[in-house]
Amino acid sequence: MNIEGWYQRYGESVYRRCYRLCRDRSQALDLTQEVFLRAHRYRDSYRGEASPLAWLFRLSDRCFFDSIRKPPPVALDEVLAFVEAEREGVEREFGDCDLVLRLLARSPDDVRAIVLHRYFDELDLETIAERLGLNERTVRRKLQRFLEHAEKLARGAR
Amino acid sequence: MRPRIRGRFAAFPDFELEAYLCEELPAERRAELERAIAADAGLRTYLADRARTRSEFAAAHPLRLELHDARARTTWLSPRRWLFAAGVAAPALVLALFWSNGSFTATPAGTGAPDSAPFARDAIRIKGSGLAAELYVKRGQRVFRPRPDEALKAGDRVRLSVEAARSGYLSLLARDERGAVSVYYDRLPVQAGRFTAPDSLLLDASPGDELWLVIVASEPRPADQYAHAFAAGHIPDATHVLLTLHKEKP
Repeated sequence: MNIEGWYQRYGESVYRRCYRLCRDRSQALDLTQEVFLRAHRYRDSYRGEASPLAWLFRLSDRCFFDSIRKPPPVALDEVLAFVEAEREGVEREFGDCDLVLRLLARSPDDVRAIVLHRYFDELDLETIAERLGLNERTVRRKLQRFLEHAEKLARGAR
Repeated sequence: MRPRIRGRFAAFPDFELEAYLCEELPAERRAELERAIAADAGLRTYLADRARTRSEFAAAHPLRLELHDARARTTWLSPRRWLFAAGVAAPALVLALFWSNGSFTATPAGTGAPDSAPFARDAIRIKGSGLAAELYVKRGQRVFRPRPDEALKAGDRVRLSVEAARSGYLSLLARDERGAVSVYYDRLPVQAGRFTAPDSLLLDASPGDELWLVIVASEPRPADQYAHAFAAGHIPDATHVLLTLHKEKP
């Protein structure tokens, strides 16, 4: 792995990913540096199962969630509206992922990976399953768990 | 959850657009995308803008791998470092006053760095099992005691410090996520009181958390005798402390 070459090729994509996660340009630049530091530090653990871009995105997600000390607040009504809309299959645009992100800060690692693929990478369930080596039913179940967890969080705090 | 959310460019998810820009998109999908680019002005503009910002990014924000080391070298100058030092010094001062008055300490005691930790062999009494253990980490030039949930990094040097009510023999075993057990210290003689292990352990890049079992036994029992039970998930019947070592995930 030539880390400088990777940075030339993937640096901006990683930065953009980090910016979408944190919504702060300066923090996104710091996270980008951290992602490539980790990639360099753990280069032996990259064995080419995923594309370099997919691997770097996974590092970006971890770096971002590692940087969060305290989960950001969520508005309960907002969570309930989101959960209901998802259950009813209301068609929405990607991009407004802020709430998803705030909820994800409270979710376990395996659910996080799936939800990020769904909302940030805009992948369908079949592709997510293929990418993570899971079956589609498991992916569906974990996305369901994410919603249930969000709903529980909202109702429990009421 | 039903897959009913639309991407900005419906037929091509964001990840594929990134893969295209990074020249990683498989040939068949690439051909489809290029046909879509020809037909969709919005997509064309978006990708052209992205191609421009990509080419400028690395030059505008060069990669600085050396920053990490430089940061570690200069942390002693930072206000955070001084606050940390004050935080360490204050409880140490209180403990020193207790010792000087013949009072006892509770676990965990003493918060100074291992090399400068007070040593009060005769005055130590420890609550509970009679054994307390903590870790110190050296990262670059910085020494700190990690928070319970703090992830350690490959290259960190970890040093064990124990406080035992009675003299005995220290063994340190580690079990990784696959259940493999390593013996780091085997029957190291320790006196009652505070003891800092002679060497630091260098963390490698192998992934996954580790569970550390610190035993101070009254008899010099070989650590291998504990290893089998520990590998099977059992905790040996000896005075012990368990520490979880969280490691940064790649």
